[in-house]
Amino acid sequence: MYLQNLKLLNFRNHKKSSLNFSLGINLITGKNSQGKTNLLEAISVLLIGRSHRTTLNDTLITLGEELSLVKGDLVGGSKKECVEAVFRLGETKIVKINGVRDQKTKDLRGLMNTILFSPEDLRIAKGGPDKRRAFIDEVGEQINYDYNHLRWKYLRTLKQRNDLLKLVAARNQKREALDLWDEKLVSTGSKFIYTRRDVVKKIRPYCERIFSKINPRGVFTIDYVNDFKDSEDVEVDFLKKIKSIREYEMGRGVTLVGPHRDDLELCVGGKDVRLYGSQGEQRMVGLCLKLGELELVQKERKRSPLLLMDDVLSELDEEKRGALLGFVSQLEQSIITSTSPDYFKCVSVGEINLIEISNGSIKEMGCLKA
Amino acid sequence: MYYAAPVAILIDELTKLPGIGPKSAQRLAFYLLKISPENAKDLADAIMNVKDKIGFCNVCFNITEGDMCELCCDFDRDDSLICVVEEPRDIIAIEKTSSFKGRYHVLGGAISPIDGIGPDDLKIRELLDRLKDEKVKEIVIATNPNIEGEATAMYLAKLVKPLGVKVTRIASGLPVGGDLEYADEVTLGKALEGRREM
Ligand SMILES: Nc1ncnc2c1ncn2[C@@H]1O[C@H](COP(=O)(O)OP(=O)(O)OP(=O)(O)O)[C@@H](O)[C@H]1O
Ligand SMILES: [Mg+2]
Ligand SMILES: [Zn+2]
Repeated sequence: MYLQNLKLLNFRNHKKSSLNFSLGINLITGKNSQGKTNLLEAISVLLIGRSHRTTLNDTLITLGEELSLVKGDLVGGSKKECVEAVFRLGETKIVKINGVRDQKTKDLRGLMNTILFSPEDLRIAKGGPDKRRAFIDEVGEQINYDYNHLRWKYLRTLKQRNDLLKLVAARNQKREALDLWDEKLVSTGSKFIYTRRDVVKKIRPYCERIFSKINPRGVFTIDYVNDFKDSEDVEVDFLKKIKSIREYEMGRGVTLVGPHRDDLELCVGGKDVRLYGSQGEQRMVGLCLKLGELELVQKERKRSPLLLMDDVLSELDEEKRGALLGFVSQLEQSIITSTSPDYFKCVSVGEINLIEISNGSIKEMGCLKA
Repeated sequence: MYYAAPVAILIDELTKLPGIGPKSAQRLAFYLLKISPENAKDLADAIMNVKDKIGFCNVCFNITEGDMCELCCDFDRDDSLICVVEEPRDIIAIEKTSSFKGRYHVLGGAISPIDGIGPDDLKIRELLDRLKDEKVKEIVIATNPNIEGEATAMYLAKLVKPLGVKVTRIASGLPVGGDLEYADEVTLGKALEGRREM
């Protein structure tokens, strides 16, 4: 499936916009702060189910307005699905498919996979472990139907246990009450660790291969780091560990072992890029992770994902940009923002659908041959 | 936005209701401002009435008008089977399936440290007292299939099994993470039939 068109009403600085997309590359250009990122964000909240910039839905609504709409048609073969997200100030988002309100679906992954690539992703190697956990989660939720539920279950159990640790420390609950939540944490936590292990095992070869394709002299390796890395039986070791540090945890009032502390170790030439890598290497790693995600999802879901790419081109040198665009040109559809169309001049990527944005108003410029 | 004090208080009270956000509360308040004084009084009376007349059953903690609820008084029900639920509304959901003929026990919630609810805040001791009666052979735990409901089920199973009473859990054909209240009759009926031993 691909995204055929989009209608926006009161979405950030887009008062009322409507535009068509084509298959292949769609390039959105415009000066700074004209609404390029906002447009990609709208597609992202519609198709991925969340924004990469905020968790506060109210900020998506144009200031001074109460209602915002994002609506688009997904087309594939003879099928056409009209999807829509409605935001009302102070209320939860409503998703509609073909005009019918959908209670369960928070995203539209079942219809189409959408992957967002922003400059933040290039800094994943340098940032905190939470960024790398988020990457595993993003990949996991696309290739494993159960992933998000499992993750949510673990985090909820973790929160319950953390709150209980505080209650026990304050003598508002008996310490035996912890037994129950130890067991729950360990059973959901081990399942989650096994699942993440599997996700990393799946994506690793893709990213590593892409790296050596762009840089034949370099060797890139990914490792899943967690509290039970080499454990044969995570459940047994997890329980043992958590029992042994109970006193300490009660003093701190938080759970100190478990997959909420997971990380990815990213090494170039055997050295951790977070600690030793140059900026160029770190970006390269970010790029390879993202391209690996695209390739893996394409393979696992047997369909080309829609790529949304925000301002990434300006952050890369010519070599990496070339590799990225070569990749992009093979996708069924991509929507890319850039302040300038120049990046496409020096590489041959075929036809490009050019869209210009100026102060929230959109102009379709037609086809650009590159 | 600023409202006259009585309106602000009304909105404030409505916001405290489950599922009502500030926007809906505002909508409801403006609706109530428009209705006739008689209609407003009927609503207020209805609320006061349930508060005056309705209490909890001495045996199972279901809501009832007298000391004991209808289900506990019913001679035709099977005394050897007790279905344990979180809230009185769950009884209504299960009764609609007509596939359960035993007795009930309402815990009044589920274990949830986030909400400050521990085992002692639930009617668990009262359940154990009921199990001292030789007649009870099995309890069916029908707490919600979410984290807190599962934790509560596990806790109960550990307490009750040593007493020699069979403990079963309704099958998880239910929407995971969901509430019993919203499960449709067919799924809930199947979940009861397919209960498994804990
Ligand atoms: N809720 C909102 N209501 C009105 N305007 C908003 C809202 N949220 C953001 N904006 C405005 O939208 C404008 C465009 O933002 P956007 O991030 O899309 O720019 P951009 O085209 O991606 O620019 P850049 O090239 O700098 O990344 C900003 O000037 C911002 O002030
Ligand atoms: Mg931008
Ligand atoms: Zn009763």
